[in-house]
Amino acid sequence: MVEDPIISLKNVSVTFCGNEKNVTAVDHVSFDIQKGDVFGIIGYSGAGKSTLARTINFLQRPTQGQIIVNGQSLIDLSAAQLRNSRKKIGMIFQHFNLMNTRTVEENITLPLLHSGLSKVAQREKAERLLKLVGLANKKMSYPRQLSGGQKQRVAIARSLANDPEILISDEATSALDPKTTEDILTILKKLNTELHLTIIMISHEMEVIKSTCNKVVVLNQGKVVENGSILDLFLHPKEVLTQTFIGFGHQNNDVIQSLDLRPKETVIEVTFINSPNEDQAKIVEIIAVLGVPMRIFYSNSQFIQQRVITNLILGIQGNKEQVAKVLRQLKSHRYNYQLTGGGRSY
Amino acid sequence: MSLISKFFPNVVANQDQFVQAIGQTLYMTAISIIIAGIFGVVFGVILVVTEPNQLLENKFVYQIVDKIINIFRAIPFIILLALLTPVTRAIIGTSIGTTAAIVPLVLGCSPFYARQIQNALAEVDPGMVEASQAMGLTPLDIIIHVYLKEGLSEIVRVSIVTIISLISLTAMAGAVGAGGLGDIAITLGYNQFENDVTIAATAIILIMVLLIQLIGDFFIRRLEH
Repeated sequence: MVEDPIISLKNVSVTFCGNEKNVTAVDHVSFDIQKGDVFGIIGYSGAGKSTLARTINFLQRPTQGQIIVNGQSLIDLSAAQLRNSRKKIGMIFQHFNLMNTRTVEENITLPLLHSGLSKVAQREKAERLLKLVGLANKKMSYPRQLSGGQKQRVAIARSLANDPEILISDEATSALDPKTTEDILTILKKLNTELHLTIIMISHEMEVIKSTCNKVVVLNQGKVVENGSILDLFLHPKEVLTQTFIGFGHQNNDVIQSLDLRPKETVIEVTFINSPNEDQAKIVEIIAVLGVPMRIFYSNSQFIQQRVITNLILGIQGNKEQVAKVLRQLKSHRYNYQLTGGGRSY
Repeated sequence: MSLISKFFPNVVANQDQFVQAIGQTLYMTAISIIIAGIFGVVFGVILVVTEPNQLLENKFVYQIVDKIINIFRAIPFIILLALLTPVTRAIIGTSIGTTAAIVPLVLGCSPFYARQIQNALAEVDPGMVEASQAMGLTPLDIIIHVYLKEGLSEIVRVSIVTIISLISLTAMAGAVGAGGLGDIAITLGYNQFENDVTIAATAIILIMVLLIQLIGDFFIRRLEH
């Protein structure tokens, strides 16, 4: 049984009217996000990621299409209803966007302005949230006195003030160093597992997406070019763009360019999830049985969603039929392969 | 006292008039600051939030306020004094005197201040506004708790500039019989060749400006964390 999605985008477009020409930042985008997902939106700068994310809490009104959050279409809401619905969608930003004239505590209690909570209750809540993000001793500090990572922790605490069900993270780690990025991602993962928060991660870095998300869409020029589980993305990347993001493709092109191929050698790329029954040895075995000479040029593994995904670049030496036989064997074992660069065979 | 009467004989001779002039200048400045302050903040905020792509985007309101401000700022103050006589008479009942001068002072100063407030609030990081919108705050909340609060030190800074320029406007208000330090500097100092009155009036105005600058700087330091 499939639950109703917590967020559903139906045919959403955003067009900005310029003086010279109109720019379509988001182009007929549709996807569903299930409760508890950590949903990645990846794309290069200018791909429309942030604009798309901002349509989810209607900071950006779509020119066309519908956004349904918790069964409620946002376009039907009055301004006041929309504000209430925004309270249930936390948001964090690349540049933190903390209020400089307020202490950490005052920043966190700002969203509680009309919550009806007493000042004391608000302060207690801020204290609890600061503990959650590991910053309990900084409540009287001002943002200027904090490091980037600390500021983002405060921003996370602030985004949780109204007990949201959804958190939008708009390039939240893009201004942070790798170690701090890891810390922040750990907090976000904790929020996902402990508070069952649905998280939307916008990033241009696959490292960030693959270490946190279970699902992902790849955005290119406002269009969704890939949509699926993160494992699927790595195993069956459809688009060249996706391949550059997942790192295999990008690096592999360089590797393949540098190969010194023998006559009649065909290059094949195989990507698979390592498991007790599937690893490099198994592939070597499958091909060895056929009696076709084979060598491994390069292998590259990544750890995603608690699984190891390996990408192999193989050279097979043989005629067309022998190559076809190898491919058939791989296929029958459900390996996902790809003839690279037309095989570049001699 | 003897030293003062030595260097400023005419000031001492016209002591009552001089003290009265200081009072008139302070009175005109103070009342005008309060009224122009309210107008300036209100219209400055309107300009900022109705600007394209802002909180309460409204091209019509923005254009009208923007144009009115530009027109008033273009009129030289000494002409504004004369131009506003009927308006002043309608509001105050007379177009002559210290109180009557407040009408042109407010109208001469508010557009300038509104523009200054607009510039000050434009400095507020749009990211903060976006974050507060994402929190579900109302536009009024955002104006009070984000724009005015986060822009406060910048507001104090432009207020000092405005108050100082207002003091210099009060010096011209003598033209409509408002009195003040500017007036005695002309009527006594210039017309009757009592140079020491001019110098003393200048000194008092400089002290006022200096004090305002000091107080303003003190608040700015307190506000900036």
